[in-house]
Amino acid sequence: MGNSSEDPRPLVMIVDDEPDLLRLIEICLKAQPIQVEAFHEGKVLLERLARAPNPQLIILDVMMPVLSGYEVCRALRALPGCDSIPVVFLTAKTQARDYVLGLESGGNYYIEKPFDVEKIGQKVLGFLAAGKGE
Amino acid sequence: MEPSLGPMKMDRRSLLFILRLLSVVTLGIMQVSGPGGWQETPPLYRWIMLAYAVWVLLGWALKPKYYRKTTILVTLFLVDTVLALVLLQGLSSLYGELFLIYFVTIFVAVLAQSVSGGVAAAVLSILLYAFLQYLRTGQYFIFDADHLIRYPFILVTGVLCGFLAEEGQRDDGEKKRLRDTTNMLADKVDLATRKLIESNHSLKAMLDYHKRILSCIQTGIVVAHQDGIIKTFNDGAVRITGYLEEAVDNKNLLELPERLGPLTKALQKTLSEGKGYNLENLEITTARGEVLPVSLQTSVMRSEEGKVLGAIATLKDISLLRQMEIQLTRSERLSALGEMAAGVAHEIKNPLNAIQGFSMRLSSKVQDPSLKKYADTIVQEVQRLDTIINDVLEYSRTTKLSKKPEDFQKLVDEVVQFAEEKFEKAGIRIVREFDPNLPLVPMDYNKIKQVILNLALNAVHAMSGGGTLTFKLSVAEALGDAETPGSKDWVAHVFLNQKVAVLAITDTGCGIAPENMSKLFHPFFTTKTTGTGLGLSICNKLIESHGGTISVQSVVGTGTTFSVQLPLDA
Amino acid sequence: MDPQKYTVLVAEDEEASRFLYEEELKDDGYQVRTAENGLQVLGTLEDFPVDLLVTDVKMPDMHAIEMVPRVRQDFPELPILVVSAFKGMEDDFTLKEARVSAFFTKPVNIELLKGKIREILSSRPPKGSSRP
Repeated sequence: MGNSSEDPRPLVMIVDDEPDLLRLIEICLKAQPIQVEAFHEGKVLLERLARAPNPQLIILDVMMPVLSGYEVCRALRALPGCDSIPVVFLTAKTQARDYVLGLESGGNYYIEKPFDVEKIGQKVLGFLAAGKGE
Repeated sequence: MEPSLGPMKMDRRSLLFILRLLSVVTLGIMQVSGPGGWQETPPLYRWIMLAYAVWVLLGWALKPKYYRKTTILVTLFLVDTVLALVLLQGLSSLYGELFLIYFVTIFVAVLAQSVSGGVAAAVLSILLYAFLQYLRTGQYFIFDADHLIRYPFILVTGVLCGFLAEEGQRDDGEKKRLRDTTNMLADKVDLATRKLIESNHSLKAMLDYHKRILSCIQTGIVVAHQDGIIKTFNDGAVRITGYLEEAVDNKNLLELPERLGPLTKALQKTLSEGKGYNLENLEITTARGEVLPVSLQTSVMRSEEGKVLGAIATLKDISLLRQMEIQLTRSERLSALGEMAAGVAHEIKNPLNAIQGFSMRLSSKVQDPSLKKYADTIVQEVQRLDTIINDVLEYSRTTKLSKKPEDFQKLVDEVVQFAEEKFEKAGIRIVREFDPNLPLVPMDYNKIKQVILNLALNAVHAMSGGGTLTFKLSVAEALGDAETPGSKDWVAHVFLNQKVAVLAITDTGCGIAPENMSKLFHPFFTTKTTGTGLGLSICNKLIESHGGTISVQSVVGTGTTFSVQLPLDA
Repeated sequence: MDPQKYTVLVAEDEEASRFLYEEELKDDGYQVRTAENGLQVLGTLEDFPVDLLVTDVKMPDMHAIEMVPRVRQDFPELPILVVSAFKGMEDDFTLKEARVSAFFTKPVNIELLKGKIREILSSRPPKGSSRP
């Protein structure tokens, strides 16, 4: 269940096209015992997952050029080994239809932006624990 | 009771007894009134007389049946004759012999029981008389008036007695035949009466049976005879029209309450024209004042020869049918609306392609900030258009469902988990009430998940200050009512009382205004400022394509419950 | 990869969309040719070296289902991208058999389209010299 043989911490991958936001999330998460890998776009994440599908959680922004968060989610679900990795959408799109689209794409959680910087780390830990519980 | 013909039988006995008694009495009287009188009568003569009297009396004691036996009768005759002869010897008058002759005549004639016998007896007596004459006078016939008159008298006596006896016999015989016939008739009448009672019973039973049918069926049956009088108004008719049988029975069509106008008119027309009518969508006003949709059919009642006997009207309350039709038309109308919208959306796609592309190019190429803002606005609005079009096309798309038995509870849990953060942020408490016995439900998991999420988010939107959102899963029998929209499938489920899984999502929000209730599932209907308003209509379509239904119940200010019912058998 | 060396043929009967593709592709530096109908597509392919074909599905004289196999027959190596209003085109057997490289639904995400074109062309040599 671990990642690299050295690191026992859970691996979380994050994707956001806004570099500042990406960095912010990374910092928040790293305050917890979490390993983080950050990506600027979905395509790179997909390539990474195709090589080694081993994160315990994936956080996706939705509004991204080329591939939206939903499309990335759909694509990654099709990759071998990625069927049950919990996916969290982190996005400013807060309409009901966005939620539904997110659910349809195969996501497991939906977090609205702006998010609580203090709490996001705890939240992610919660998601990780719930994921393990299954 | 057997007619008593007993006395008739005694007649022969009585007759003979009377005659014999008469002969004894006559002999006695002759002796007593003769020259010597009773005093000069020799004692032997008296004893014989007595013996003869006793003998006759004994005859009375003899049972009537013995009077049929020839031997008995012959014995009687012989003994009588012997005694009479003996007694007559004591009499000096010739008239005594006459007595014997008459006696013989009468006896034999009665024995013979016929006129011809009587004649024979007379002849025999005449011969006997001639013989006795010869014994006394040496002559067979004495030709003087005194003697000559005796012959016809003997003949008359013989014939008369024979005739009388024959009559008695005939009477007897006839009376016996009459008695037999009467007995036979009585038996036949008895049998016929019993048979009549039996058939009366079965007729009554059949009548009861038909009466039962008439009174138990739901259809109202009204029959008017040719003369316009109502002869039948069954319980069904009472139920439907609200008028009691007493108010209508035996009344003329023209006297019926005005409210039953359509019914009256239909019956009148049928009677006068001799043909039936089929009125599928009629409205009558009941006695209670309600307007009731009914289907009315009239038929002509004809005799076997084809003569019009009356008119029969059948009434069916179709209010439930009407409701279901309304539901179906609503369903179909939504469907048609959706189709039309899809056609339009499809056409828009092409020009939208270019508009979207160029607006984006414009936005990226333009330097002037205000112009750029214009361009960005265009891009934004085009995105919205795109969304709308996709929604519309999504709505009209005949979604291919992949239905499998799924865990409804797991589904609800996943949906709740997905929007966890939203619930928390909005201050909404989640309550789960899951029936542990809920079986797997056939459904397209992903599609139903979307529906439930949609409904849950609508509930969140209604609970602006927080509240409680309850998810209740249970099994029930398919229920349909006026508020439940339904496809033909759903109507079938309700009709067959099939089992369904029910998910009731209850919120403690502001509720839905009554005027909006009927439009809830219409495409493009929304009370929100954002959104296309297709959410609920898409949800409805999805559920309906599962053969299920969504229904709503809401109290303004208290909350709303959306019920999703999915059939348990695919 | 030098986009200038590549020629892309865009087949689209709607003028506005055709213009859009043209502008976008020119932005990326490609040589762009356009066609309004199936006949023009076949004609252009005959007369000029084309490195990639982007085609709409519905055109006045023939449907892509008819046109694409014909193109494939004459040009077995030509990459073909199909743009359609329906999502269902992806599953069309004829088009799959004709080895269509990618399907896009309208309204097209231009970036995605261009990305795909780039991807395909960068892995193959250009056909001919560019002509104005």
